[in-house]
Amino acid sequence: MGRFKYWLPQTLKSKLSIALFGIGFFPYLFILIYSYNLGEEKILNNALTVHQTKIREIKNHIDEKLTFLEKEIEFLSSLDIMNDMIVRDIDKRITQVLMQKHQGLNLNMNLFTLNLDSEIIASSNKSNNYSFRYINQFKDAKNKKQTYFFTPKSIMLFTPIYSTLDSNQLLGHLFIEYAFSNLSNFTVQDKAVHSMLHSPNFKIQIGAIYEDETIDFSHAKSSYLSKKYLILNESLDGVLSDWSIIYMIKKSVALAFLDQFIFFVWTLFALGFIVISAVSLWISRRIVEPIAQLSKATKSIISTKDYTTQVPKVYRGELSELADDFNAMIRETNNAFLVLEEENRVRLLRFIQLINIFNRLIQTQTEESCISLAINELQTLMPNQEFSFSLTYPNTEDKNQIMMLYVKNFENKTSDFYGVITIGKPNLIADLNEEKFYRSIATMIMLQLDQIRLIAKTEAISRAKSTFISHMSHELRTPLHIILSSTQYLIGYENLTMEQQKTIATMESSADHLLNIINDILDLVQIEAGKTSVNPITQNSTQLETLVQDVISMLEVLTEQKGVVITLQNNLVEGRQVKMDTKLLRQILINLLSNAIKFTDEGSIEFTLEECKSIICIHIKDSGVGISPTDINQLFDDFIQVKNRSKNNYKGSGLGLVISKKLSHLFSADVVLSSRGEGKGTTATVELKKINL
Amino acid sequence: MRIFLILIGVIMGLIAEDFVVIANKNSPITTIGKSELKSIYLKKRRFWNETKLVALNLPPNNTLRQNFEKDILEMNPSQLETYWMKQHYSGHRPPYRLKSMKSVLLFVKKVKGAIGYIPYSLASKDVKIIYRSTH
Repeated sequence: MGRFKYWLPQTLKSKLSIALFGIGFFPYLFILIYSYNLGEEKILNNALTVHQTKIREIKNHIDEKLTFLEKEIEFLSSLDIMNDMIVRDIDKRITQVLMQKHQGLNLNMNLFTLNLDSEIIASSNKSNNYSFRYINQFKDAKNKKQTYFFTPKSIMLFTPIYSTLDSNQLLGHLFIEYAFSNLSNFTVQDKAVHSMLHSPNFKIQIGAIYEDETIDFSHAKSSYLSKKYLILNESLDGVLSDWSIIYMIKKSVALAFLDQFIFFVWTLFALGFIVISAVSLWISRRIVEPIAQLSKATKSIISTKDYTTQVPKVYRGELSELADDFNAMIRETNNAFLVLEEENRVRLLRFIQLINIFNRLIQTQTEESCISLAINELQTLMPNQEFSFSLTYPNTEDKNQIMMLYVKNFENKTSDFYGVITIGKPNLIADLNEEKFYRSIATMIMLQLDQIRLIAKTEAISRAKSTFISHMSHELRTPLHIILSSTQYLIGYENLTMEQQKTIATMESSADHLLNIINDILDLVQIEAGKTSVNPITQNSTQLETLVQDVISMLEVLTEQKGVVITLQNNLVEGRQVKMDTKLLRQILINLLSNAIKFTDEGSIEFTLEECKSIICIHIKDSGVGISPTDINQLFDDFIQVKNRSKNNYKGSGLGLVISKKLSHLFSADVVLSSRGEGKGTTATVELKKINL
Repeated sequence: MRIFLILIGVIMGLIAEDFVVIANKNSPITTIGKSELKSIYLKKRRFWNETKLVALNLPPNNTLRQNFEKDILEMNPSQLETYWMKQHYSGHRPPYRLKSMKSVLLFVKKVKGAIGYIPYSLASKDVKIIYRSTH
């Protein structure tokens, strides 16, 4: 069935065609199958019956003929004249009678009388002077009490002649010699049928049968079918009781009628095939065509999206209804589409207006402008409605008080009443959705008010912090300088004991450390306040390498006591352009390198300049203590020095990395730190913006 | 007158030839009288002692038969016809008729009880003459 689907389209048309075709064709098939299967058998049986009847007729004919001849001779023998046997038929009266009879019967035969001395006394055959040659057979027959015997060419029937003058006296015998050739009258040799009389005992065959078939005589007394023939075999009665008659009928001739009939049916079949195919195709097309038109119309509607198309109405009955319904459906669909489109358009418009309102609202800088803008916008959006703003708390029962505005109090974490936008004509509010719309605008206004307040507050706090820190630092620096210069003076004093000198050295280093911290904080504050001057210029790779080399030689002194080796590798293409601020980059590199030296007790620090994707990288890879991945993210927060480092008493404000990162941002660069874990070293990378030529 | 009568007799004799009645050599009959002959030919007598008698006739138009019937049976043909018609209903049939005198002679030679008439001239030693017509 699956294969069937390949070459037979599963369409209504083909199904209908096949169904109609099948209905039209069934009788033909039935007749054909019947003719082939049952027809032949029936016709052969018929032929058999017909010929069996014929055979019986012929059998009866033969029997009658022989009986008739027997009667004839019996009659002749009873004639008075037969007494002439006594006088050897001198008067030829018997001869005359026999000849007359012979003439009357008109057969190939001979009548003669035989006297007791086996002499032929009288014969119907004039030239018959022959002597009687069948004495032995005659005697045998008499002994068997038969009244006949066979010669090679004839049947001899005989009857005794008694004297009518003396009934006890046997005068001789009257014979009829009936030639076998007479029997050929009972055989048939025509186009379709050959028959034969046959005696197996005497090996006599009269008539002929088809020679291309060997008769199986074991089928005696029955009929059977061979490949080409219908063969009937029937034994005879009476005198010829050990004889049989064989009929051979050509099958092709017997079945000629059937063949003709089948030919006729085939011809009809062929004609019918054409006619029925054409008719079934035509009918199915007629049935299916309107459906195809409907389908076509549907397809065109789908492809063109033209829902105003209507199916042409040219049919009657159910299909007409279908077309009407279809058209109605398309009209409905079209209407629905139009309504949807209109609604969509309105919604989109409203949405865009809303976005516009939001957009303008978030651009407002003050609370007053925010409220007035909101009221103006609402008024233009809903020209029929009236909006007003009041700062007094309204009667909450009123239906028009749906745009209550609240602001957040961040200190107490509460919402405080701010004001209300009153809707003048509440009865114009169409539905819940419009109400929600107003509420959402109110929410937006509230958000914007919060934001305005938050920004103002944050800015104030930030300003206060910066001012505080810069003032503090400045105020701290003056006494620290005094402490430093005093201690430095005291270190140079000769009369101090070792203990005293050690104490003063500690004081000096602590003061120095404090001063560094304060300087760092001031730097940071300056950066955040935007007071750092930035001067980004374009440099080439060679100039970058020179800068890095400068920084290395500046800090190499710090490594001398530790046994750390600093290397530099420049992988950049010569003439590669880089954007940077030389002064700030120098400070960043100093910070990063001093960090690297600080956290590396032995091993190496490798500088690598290379191109990473779309940027230029300066890697500073050390073999120092490293950082765990979780800690890395905290490093760039203000005042953070990872805990385990403080345990080892590394000195520093913890601001170095933060300052470096913030500085790098000033000229579109960045600082990134990575480590493969504690004890596995750290890589700091400065990412510089590449200038593409 | 006597000569005349003889002449007539001679002529008659010439016309009506003498016949003899013959029988088989073994026949029990030696001689037979006219009345006996008549009763045999009219089938009133069928046996002689124990021998079945077979009377033989010649065809109707035969002169000898006509003479025989006139002389012995003393009946004309129409009388005979009437006689045999009557006899037929009692199951009796006229004597067996042969075509020629030769066959009569042969028949008598062969059949013991046969009696036939033939011209005197045809008579042979093989048969017994039991009666002779006198003219």
